[in-house]
Amino acid sequence: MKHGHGTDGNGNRDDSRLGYLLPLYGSDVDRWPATARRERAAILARQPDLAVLVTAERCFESLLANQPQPPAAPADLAARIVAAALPTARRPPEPASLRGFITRLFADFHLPAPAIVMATMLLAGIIIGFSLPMSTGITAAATQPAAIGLQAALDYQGEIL
Amino acid sequence: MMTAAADNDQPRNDRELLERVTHGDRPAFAELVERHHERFFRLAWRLLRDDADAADTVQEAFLRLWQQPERFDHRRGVRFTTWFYRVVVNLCLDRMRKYRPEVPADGPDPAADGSENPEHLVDELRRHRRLAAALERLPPRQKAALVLCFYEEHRNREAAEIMGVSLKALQSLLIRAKRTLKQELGSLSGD
Repeated sequence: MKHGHGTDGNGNRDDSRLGYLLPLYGSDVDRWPATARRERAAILARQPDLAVLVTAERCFESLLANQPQPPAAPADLAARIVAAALPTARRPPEPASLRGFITRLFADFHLPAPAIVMATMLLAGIIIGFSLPMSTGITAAATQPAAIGLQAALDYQGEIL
Repeated sequence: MMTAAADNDQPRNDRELLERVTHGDRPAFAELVERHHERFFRLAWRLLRDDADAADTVQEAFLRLWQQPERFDHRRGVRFTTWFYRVVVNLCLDRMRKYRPEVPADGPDPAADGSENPEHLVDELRRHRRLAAALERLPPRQKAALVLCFYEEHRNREAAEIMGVSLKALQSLLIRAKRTLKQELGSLSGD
């Protein structure tokens, strides 16, 4: 079926379609995906003069290719990277447990041993402090007779009833 | 013929090397660096256009690999090089955003040096310099798309994967980059 001049079967203009595809895939047809390659062939078959777009893209690529090339990497780069990496502390994997998390926590803070001991003692003190009864010896002594008196009064009322 | 023992001493692929790196194997890390540093230096240089910056970026990328190799998850089916391209490109993009150099729109006029260059050669030099300056001025992500697709010869889909964007987004970046550069060259012919 013959289409209108300069358009595909859907009425798309060949020049704008090729002008869109060329920057996407470049002038080298071997690098085009199969579908786009067939489309390009169909466009150029309908309008051979659009080959000028391919030539223009090739010229542009040639200018790009003539830009300064990267130098070789510094000769000592690999050795430098390895030397820099090896003394570096490796981060342990993401914590999967409470123990892993605590290990990671201490590794990240880099606390010296005395500080860890002090922090541990402080933490232990807080835990012990909270786990003991709230009353002190003095308040306990002061409240004990009152508690006994109340119990006696209850017992007494119980006898009347 | 290579013996089994020798075969064990000479890991054949990146995945095996990386597996060893995960367990703290230093020779395996050194071999990965030796195998790939040149390629990634070239990539970084194309994006940064500076030897020292490119070397520092590659070093930083490999240091990250050494410190947290488990961040590369081969179970997702991504090749090591694709993943590492992404690490290097992202580091380059960060640098480009932080230290974007001021690039003059044009270098010295090649015709002003008094030499007897043929006219077309002078035009060629002008275009060359104008393009170099325009390349430097491209937005970082557009430049990365162009470098990956044109200079590094990645397929569009691979480049999209490296940059962590959709194929459509990559194609948009690529088209805008080329359009800008062509406009720059077009404006020269109109001078």
